[in-house]
Amino acid sequence: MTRKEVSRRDFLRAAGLGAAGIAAAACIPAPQSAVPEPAQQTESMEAAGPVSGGTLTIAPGALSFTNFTPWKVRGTSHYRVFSPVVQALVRGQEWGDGLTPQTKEFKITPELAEKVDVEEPDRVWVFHLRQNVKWHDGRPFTADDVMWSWFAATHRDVARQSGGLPQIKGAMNLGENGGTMEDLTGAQKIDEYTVRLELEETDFDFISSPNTRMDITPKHVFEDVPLDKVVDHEPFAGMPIGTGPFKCTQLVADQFLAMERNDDYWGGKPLLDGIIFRFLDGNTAVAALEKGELDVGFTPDLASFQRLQEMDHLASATFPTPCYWAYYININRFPDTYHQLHQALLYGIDIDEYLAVTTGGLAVRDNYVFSHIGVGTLNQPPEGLTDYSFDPDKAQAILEEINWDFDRELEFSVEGEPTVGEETFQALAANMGLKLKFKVFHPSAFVPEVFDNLDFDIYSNVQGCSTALGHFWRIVKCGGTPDAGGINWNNYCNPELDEVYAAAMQEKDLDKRVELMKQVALLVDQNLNGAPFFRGVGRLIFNSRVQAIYPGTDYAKSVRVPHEKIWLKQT
Amino acid sequence: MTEYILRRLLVTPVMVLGVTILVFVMYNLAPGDPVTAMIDPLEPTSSQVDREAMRERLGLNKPIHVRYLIWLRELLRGNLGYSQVDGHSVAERIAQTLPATLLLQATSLLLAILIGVALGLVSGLKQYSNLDHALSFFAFFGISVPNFFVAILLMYFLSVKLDWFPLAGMWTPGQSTGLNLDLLHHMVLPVLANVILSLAGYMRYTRASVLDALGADYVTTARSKGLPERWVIIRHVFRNALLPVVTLVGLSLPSLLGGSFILEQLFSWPGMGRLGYTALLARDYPVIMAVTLTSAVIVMLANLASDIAYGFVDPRVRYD
Repeated sequence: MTRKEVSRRDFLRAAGLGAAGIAAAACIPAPQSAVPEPAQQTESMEAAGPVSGGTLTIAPGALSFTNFTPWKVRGTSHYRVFSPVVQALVRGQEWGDGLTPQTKEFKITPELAEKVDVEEPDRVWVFHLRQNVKWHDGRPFTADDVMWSWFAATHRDVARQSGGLPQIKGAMNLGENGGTMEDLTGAQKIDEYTVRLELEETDFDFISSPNTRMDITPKHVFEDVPLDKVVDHEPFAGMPIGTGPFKCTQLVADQFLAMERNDDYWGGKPLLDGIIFRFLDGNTAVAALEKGELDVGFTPDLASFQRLQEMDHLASATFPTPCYWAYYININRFPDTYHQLHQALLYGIDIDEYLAVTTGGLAVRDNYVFSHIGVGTLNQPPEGLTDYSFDPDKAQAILEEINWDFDRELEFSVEGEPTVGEETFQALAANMGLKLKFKVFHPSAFVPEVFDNLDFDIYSNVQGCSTALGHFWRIVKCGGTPDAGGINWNNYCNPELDEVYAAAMQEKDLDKRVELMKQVALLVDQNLNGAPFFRGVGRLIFNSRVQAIYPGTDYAKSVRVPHEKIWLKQT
Repeated sequence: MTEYILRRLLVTPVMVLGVTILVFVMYNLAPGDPVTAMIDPLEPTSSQVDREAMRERLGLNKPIHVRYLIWLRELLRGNLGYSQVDGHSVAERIAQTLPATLLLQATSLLLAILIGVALGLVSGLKQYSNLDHALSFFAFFGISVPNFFVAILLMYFLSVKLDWFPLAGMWTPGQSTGLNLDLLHHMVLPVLANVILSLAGYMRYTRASVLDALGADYVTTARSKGLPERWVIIRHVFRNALLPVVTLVGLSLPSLLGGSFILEQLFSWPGMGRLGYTALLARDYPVIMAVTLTSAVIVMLANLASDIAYGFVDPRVRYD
C-alpha cells in the first residue's frame, strides 16, 4: 500500500462518510409497534374467567442456555425453560405447594402415560400411553419413543450428561460399557402404546422423584445420529421437539427462546398464544419487571422483592422450596461436644430474628429434616422432636456444661464474601457469647477446602433440595465420605442411625416406612453435628395481568407448571 | 510502508503467543477449575471421586504445560476447543457473539470520535468560556464515572421511567432479527453508555491539540496572509488537531473491549463480552482463552491499522 493508491483525502472522506451513515441510522427511532401492547395481544375478552391470547414473558433466572435437551437440564431455572416443551410419562409430586394437604400415597401426575399399573410396588410398572399425542413436528408419539428415551438416558455415550437411570435392569452395564437396546433388559415394549419398566432393585424414590430423568424425546429425530452426538444434536438441542403445550419457534442464543401454542396439545388448547423466555441479568430482570417489559421473574433479591411487590402493576407470591438451610460443626475438631454445641446454637440464636433479617420473615423456623417430603404423614414432625424455641438461658447452661471457653473463636468458613445470612448468624451468636470469626475461601476453593479437607469449625449451607427419601442418608451414612465417593462431608457416623435408615429404605409397607423414617429424624435430632434451622422460600414477582399462575402452581422442579392454564388479563 | 506493515504482521503472532502463555498461566494459577465451578457450594451433590473423574475426562489432571501445548496444537489446526461447561464448539460461540460486540463497539467508537472531536474543537476555540467549562465538567464526569454506573442511570431514567428505549437485549423477543430498526432502537442505550465514557477522552485530546495548533506558527502565517478565520480553523487548526485522535483510537480499544464484559452483561447484549463474563464465572478455560485471544488479535490489528492510518493523515510521517 502506498499513498498514491489511497490518498489521505480519500481516506478521511471515506471514514467520515461511513461514520456519518452509521450515526444517522442509529438516530432513527424504532416504531413503537415493535413492542406489542398486552391489550393488542388479546384475542377475546370476557368480564371474568380465562381468555385466550397474549404472550407471556418470563425471565427464568439464568443468563443463558444453549442446550435444552433433557440430558443437559441443570437446575431449576433450566427446568423452567424446558418444561413447557418436553414431557415425562408421569411426574412425581412428593412435596406440596404449602397450600394443598399432602395425601397418604405418593402423588403421581400422569402426563404421557394415562394409566400406570403397579406390577410390583416400587420396582415394576406397566405404563399405558396416551394414544392421541403428537410430537410438535406432527409425528405420532408411540412406545418406540419411550424405549428410545430410556435407552438414551442409560447409554454410556448419552447418559454421561444426565446421570442416567442406573436403577433400570441392565442400565448399569449399558452405562459402563455401552450396548444396544436389547441390553436394557428392564425396558420392554408390549405393544405400540404399552411399555413395562423393571428396576434392578426396589427403589421408593424412582417413580416419584423429580430428579428421575423420565423425560421422553422423539426417536425419529435421532435415528441417524451417532449416540455420542445425540446430546448436542442441532436443531433439537437448541429447540427441542416435545409433546408439551408449547413448541419452540425461535432461539436467539443468549437472548431469548420463543415458543408458540401447540394447538394439537393432548391436554387441550393452551390459553396463551406463546411464551418467551428471556435470559437476563438478575438486576436487569428486576428493572424489566418494574418497567412492564417482563411478566414473570423468579427469586429477585429480598430488597428488590419488597420494593417490587408494592408496585400497583405487580403481584408477588412466595412458595416453600424443598431446600433446607443448615449449619454444621466439625466433628473432628469437637469430637465430644459437637452435639451440645449445636444444641446451644439452636437455643441461643434467635432464629426468628435471623429470618426476619434474611428473608423478610417469609421463611419459618424448622428443624425437622423430612418436613418437605410428602409421603404419608412424614411431612409432620414426630412426637418428641426437640422444640428449639429461642431460649438463651438454656443455651448458656449447655455451654457451661461443656466448659466452653468463651474466649475461643470459632472459624466460620464462608464462600467468597460473607452473606447477610452469615453476618446475621455471626451477630446473633455473639449475643450468646459465642465468637465466630469468618474464614473466607475463594468460591472455587470452598468445596475442596471445606468439604474435602474439612477446614472449618462451623459452616452453613443448603442441606439439600432433593426430596428423595434416601438423599439425607447420603449426607449422614457411615463411611460415605467424599474420598469414598459419597457426600457425607462431615464424616458423621452413627451406626444406629444407619441401621434404622437401612430398614426404612427396605420396608415395603408405607406406614411402617414412615414410622422408621420418623425414628431416623429423632436420631438425627438427638445426635447430629448440625441441623436444618429453616426451610427456604422461593420468591416470585409477576405482572398483575398474569392469571392462574399462583396459587395452585408450584414452581419447584418437582411439579410441572401448567403453562397451558395460564392466561393474561386485559388491562 | 508495505515493508512496515509486513514487519508488523510478522511480529503480531509472536505477541499473540506471548499473550496466550500469560493468560493460560494466570487462569490456571487462579484457584479452582471448571469442575469446582460447576458445583454449587450451597448444595454440593457430587463427591470427590466424581470430581476427579470429571477432571480426568476434561484433561484437567495433565500438567499445565502439556495442557497449553495441546491447546496450542489444536489452535493451529483451527480448533478453539469445546466449552467445558456446555460442550459447545468455542469457535462457533465466538463466531456467534463477535459480530454483536463489533457492532456495538464500532458504532460507539465512531460516534465517540465524531462527537468528542466536534465538542473538543468547540471547547478549544471557546477556551475559558462557559461552554468550555460545561464541556470540561462533562468530560471529567465521563472520565471519572465507571461505565456500569452510567449504564444503570441510563437504563433507569431513559428506559424504566421514560420508556424511550428498550431495557435490554438486541431485538424485541419474538420479533424478526437482523439489521433492522428494532436493532438500532436496542443499540441506543448501550452505545450511549459507551459514548459518554469514551468521548470525554477524544474531547480533551482534541481541545488540547486545538489550543496547541492555535498558537502554532503555521496558523499565525495563515492569518497574516489574510486567510478568512473560518478557513484557518478548518484547513489548519482542525486538520492538525485530528492527529493525536488517530493514536487515541488504537489506545482506546482495549478499554472498550474490557468494558464490554460488564456493559454487555447489564444490557443482556449477546456479545463476546457477555460470553467472556459467563465463562469467567464458570472458569470455562477454553472459552476464556478464545475470548482473550480474539480480543488480543483485535487490539493488535486495530493498533496496526491506527499506525497505518497515522501515515495517511500526517504527511510528515514516513515508515520507509
